[in-house]
Amino acid sequence: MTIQLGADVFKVAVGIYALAAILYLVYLSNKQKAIADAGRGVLIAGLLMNTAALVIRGVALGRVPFLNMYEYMISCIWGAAAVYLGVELITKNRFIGAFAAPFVTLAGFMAARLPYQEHIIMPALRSAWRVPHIASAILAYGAFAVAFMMAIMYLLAVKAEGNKESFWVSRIPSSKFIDQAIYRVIAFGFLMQTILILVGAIWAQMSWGRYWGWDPKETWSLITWLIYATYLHTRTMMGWRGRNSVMMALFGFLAVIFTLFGVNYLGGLHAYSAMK
Amino acid sequence: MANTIDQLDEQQTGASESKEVGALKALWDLFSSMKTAIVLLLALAAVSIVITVVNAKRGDDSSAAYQTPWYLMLLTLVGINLAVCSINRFKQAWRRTFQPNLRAEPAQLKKAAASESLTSTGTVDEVTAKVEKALRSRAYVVAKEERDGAVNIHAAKGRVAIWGPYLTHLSILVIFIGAVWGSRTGFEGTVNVTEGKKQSTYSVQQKDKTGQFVAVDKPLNFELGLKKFEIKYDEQHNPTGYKSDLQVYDGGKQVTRKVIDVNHPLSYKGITFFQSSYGLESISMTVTGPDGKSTKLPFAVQMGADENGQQVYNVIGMNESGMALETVTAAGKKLTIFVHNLAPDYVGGEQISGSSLPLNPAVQVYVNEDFPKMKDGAWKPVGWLTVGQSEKYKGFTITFDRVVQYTGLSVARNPGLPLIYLGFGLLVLGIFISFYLTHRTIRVHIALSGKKVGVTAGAFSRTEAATFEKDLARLRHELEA
Repeated sequence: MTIQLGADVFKVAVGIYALAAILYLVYLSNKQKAIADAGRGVLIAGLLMNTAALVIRGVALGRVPFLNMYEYMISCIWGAAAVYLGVELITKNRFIGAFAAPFVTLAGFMAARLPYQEHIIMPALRSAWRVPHIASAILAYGAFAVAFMMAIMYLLAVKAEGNKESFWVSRIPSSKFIDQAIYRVIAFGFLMQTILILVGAIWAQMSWGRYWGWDPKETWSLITWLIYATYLHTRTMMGWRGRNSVMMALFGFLAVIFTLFGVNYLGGLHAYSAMK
Repeated sequence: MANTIDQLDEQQTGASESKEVGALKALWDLFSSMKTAIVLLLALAAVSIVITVVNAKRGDDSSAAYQTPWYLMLLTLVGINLAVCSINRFKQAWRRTFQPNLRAEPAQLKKAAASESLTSTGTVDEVTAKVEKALRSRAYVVAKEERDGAVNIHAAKGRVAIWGPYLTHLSILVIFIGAVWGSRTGFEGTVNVTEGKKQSTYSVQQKDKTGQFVAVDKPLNFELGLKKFEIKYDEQHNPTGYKSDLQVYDGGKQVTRKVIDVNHPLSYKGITFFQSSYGLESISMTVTGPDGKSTKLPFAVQMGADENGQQVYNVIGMNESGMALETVTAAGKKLTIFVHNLAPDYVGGEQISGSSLPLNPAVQVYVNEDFPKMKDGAWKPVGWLTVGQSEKYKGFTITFDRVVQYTGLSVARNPGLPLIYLGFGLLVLGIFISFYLTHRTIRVHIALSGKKVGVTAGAFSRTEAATFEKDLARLRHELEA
């Protein structure tokens, strides 16, 4: 059980995800259910390999692999693939796979290029709070990523509804369904992000004696939270639906991207999660 | 229409009874408006973005910008907005929960998210009993009234969901109050404790008259001692722990002792000490003369940082000159010792120090027999000495005895913390209730319609995509049976 083996297994998982993506895309064009079912089977195989990569890495390092950007990404990708399979099971809509599987593959390619060597754990990170902190981060930002993907689907669906000849007619759920699904996914992400921030605050209180210090990462997570809070208020209190609401969801994800990756250029206490 | 707000409920509380002064009323209305809330949320986000970017450009990693009056004002406005909104909508939520409007107009019921119009045989009372039974079997709480010969039924389920948003907003106010309370009554400071010594004060940063931050010492009202500070390393010499063996003395007696580490602070009388930094406080040299007489020479160490942020250690003298020079006289011979350099992680060669961690402290020593003569080779190199190592020079023995470390602690007292944690718990609970519990109401109007009894039911929920299929099916089933 070595770090190298874990990284190699992850690369294989990404290859399998890529195959699943191709199958789902073929299904998108020819609508042969058997192809989509094959795609799902392959995706499950990819998920198992991804699981193996996480387990091998965890055993090799002797800790939960929830620490640096590489581990965070491969965990997120695992989460995204698992969430998609759940969505397919619930909605019975296999076309979403043509969006989800390529998304997972692309993120996988990016993650596989990150440095995966053992990371020096600074003593402040040796805490039991790390696991709920990172687990809620994976769920929160994973949900926001899914909402972002669905927001793009929404834009395609609106186009399809305006044009009966469109390729997307009969391949994509109704824009109203997607709009509502985005809301539910964001509501879940918002709950998870709240837990993420609060667990982080408790941890900071235990380590540094202050629950909130306006560290750039803290501040950006608050900014993201405020944007999604605005999304939820415009929807539940002001009755926003459709385009305006979806635009807020797209906007929120830009803040997520910056919170996850951009903040490292602003320094601060979370700088250890930098990509280099 | 999946999301139809129950208009019958809204109507009841629509009328405002206030006859307040115009300006005050306008201000109240401004703060209770949803648009104001949205503007404030986005303004807070936008201002925070600007601050993070400006701070990064200036290389400022302090939180000073978030304590400016402007930012605090923005936070205050958010707080007022939350409070006003909660107060404003409280009455309505109370009525919706405990005193629902029972009246139901068939025309309005038909516009509901889901509605059902049926006819049934029997008397109005018999049909009413069946409807009540069906709704109760679906776990609805049922209330009814008779009006103009017709029966109106109000059935509710998941009423706790009405309170989710209130709990959420209340919890944020609790966190705000906890934060203000904590910052007013608590403090954040630092204290350095040297090995083998005790400290009875801590220092806080306070603004002086000119607005500059200066360190001010405050009494702890007890004493804090450090037995030993120790860094733990893994095989690659990466630090895995910073441990301070602390003792608390109160009334002259040791009352508690704890080895703290980064995630494991020590608390005493509401004051908590967190491991924060460390350093070398002083070093000690011994010079033994040709006559066998030993002299202990302490030198202070000043910690600093170089341009790369790496720790540097400067040895300074305890004497007035501030130079790391000490002179000993033994057997009529005079020798001046100069500690020129301190390497925390001595590895020798050109690199001298392997890291800035105190893994293997060593000092570079020079001696001078003719001090204060400085030039023309008056200073003779003795070389590098690690702890415990000695070097001889013309009958003198120079030994690097030991280093004395200090531990740097953050010290904080935050009486607002229980409120903060209470707020955290309520916030998660409030959001969960808001999104995962659904308040459903089904209103039914039952009246004679010719020889039969007409039943009109309308189902309402504020939750998007709330479904009533099973509830209405149960109702149909009961009436058809």
